[in-house]
Amino acid sequence: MVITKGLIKNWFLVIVVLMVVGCLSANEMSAMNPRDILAEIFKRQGLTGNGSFELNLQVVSFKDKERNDSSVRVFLDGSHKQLVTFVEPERLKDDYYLVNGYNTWMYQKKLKRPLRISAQQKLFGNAGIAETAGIDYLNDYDILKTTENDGEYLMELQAKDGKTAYQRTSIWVSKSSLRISKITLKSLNGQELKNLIYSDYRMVDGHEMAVIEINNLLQNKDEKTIIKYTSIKSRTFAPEIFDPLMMGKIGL
Amino acid sequence: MFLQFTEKLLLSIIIIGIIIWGVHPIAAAEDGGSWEIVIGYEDYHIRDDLPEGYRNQLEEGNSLFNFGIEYITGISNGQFSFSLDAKGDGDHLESNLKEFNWSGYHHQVLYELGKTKWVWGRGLSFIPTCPLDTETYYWGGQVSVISLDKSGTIGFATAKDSYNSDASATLIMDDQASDSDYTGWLRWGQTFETSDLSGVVSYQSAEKCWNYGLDFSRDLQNGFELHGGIKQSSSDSEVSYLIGSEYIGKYFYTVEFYHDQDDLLILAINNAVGLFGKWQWMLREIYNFNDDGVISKLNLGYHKNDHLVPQLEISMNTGPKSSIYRQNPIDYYLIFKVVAKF
Repeated sequence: MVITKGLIKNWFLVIVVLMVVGCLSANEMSAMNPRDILAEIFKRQGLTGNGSFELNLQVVSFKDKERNDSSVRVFLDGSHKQLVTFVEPERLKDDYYLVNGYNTWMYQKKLKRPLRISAQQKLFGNAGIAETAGIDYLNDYDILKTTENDGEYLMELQAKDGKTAYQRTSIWVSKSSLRISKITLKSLNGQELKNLIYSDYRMVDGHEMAVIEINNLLQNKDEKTIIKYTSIKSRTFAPEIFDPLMMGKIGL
Repeated sequence: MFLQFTEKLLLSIIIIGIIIWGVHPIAAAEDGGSWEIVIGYEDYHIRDDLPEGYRNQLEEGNSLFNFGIEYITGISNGQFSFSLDAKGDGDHLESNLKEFNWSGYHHQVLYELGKTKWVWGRGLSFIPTCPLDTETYYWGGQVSVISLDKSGTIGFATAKDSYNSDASATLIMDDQASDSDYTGWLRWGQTFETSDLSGVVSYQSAEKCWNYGLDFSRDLQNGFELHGGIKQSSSDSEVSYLIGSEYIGKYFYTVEFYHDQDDLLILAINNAVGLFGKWQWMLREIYNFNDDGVISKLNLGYHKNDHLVPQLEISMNTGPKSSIYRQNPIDYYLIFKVVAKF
């Protein structure tokens, strides 16, 4: 084969074009708006803004050598309303937790009436109601700042509303996979309250979900709680079932 | 006749329940229904300063064995609760239908009918706007219409049946109600961004009085909650009110001030935060400002096995001898029970 000047020129052009395309793609990734990254993550999760769901979660808490298992069911309405019930353990089966916007109620069988509680109330182990029922980082927070290192973006978020359970959060997102690797939940003054470590991403009934390890940074530091999604079903609920009066009155 | 029927029904259900429990694998018992069997022992102590004859009379039959069975099942538009209760001192057995209630939901209407605790309001121990005893099961019914964050409720309950109370004997008050007496109520409620408000109008036929009240609660954020209620009765110029707060930290703390005929301070602490751990406990103190009397209650449960939980309840009346709580001939009440759930 005779290598001509023209052939070399053509190969050179192809290589230049490929390099330019490659550079453009890389620039597009790095130039991605932080909000677009969050939107992409939530799009793959496919829950927020996609209707009503029944989520089944396995919540396991470890402390020293002791292990406590629970099975939690979250009924998620499309309009920021969530009803949390327990399948296991037996003693919590008759308890209900209702989140309606910034209002949170607890219903216990013995009391026969709903009582208002804080959304920071622990649900099981280190898992609070807010993070179990789901925090909407995309719509409830403003992104204040985004920095990056070789492998991750770090987004600093602040709640749009002073009534949100966790006022500030830091979110680490893997650059290569665009998946959340860690979230730190903070108070308004920046005090770190909880670390949420995301790992083992997998598809659960068409939704990309991670296993979440929750560590409380203020209390019970020797304890960790792991949330694993086991099934996600699309369901339709009447809006009235998310009213406090309905708690403990119907089965779901 | 009804008593005999209830006793036989209770016995049959207990036997059936034990058989079901014996043959049904617990882990697979997710059929929407749940059973609970309670076997307990109650004892109380009569004050030492009372005349011996009176003490002996009161101490007769002060040890009671009790037995209860409960069943709850729910479907997507309703729920059924049923419980029977029996108490005996070895010679006599007294049994009763404790709860029998159906609640159902259709469109925006929630309806409830049967025998249950008809209770609303925010207080832990005392609720000014609820004229019914919060520990007692009454026959009655109510209908609620729910629309977005608003609701309206109309309901009624028949006279008090003091046997069917969850309260220990130290707290059961005498009631003048007869069988034909009833209580009716009308309530409306609205939920706001971080708070809610309810208005209540009720009528008690025994006292022939109307009660007008308001309940509210508000999330103050960062773990604090504020709640309260106020009531004005047509039979009494005095206004009853409650103001209280809860805080969630390592434990769950409640502080309430209740003004009615007396001024009461209620303090409660429990470890429900986190909702697990082998020991579950709650300590509640009710302090009367007017005479320094105190009611102390301790609830303790050991949850090594959630299907078989031993529980202890102790209620004590302490304070000066002149205080109202110390007028009660019983100075402490103890209930030990084992709860089997499946």
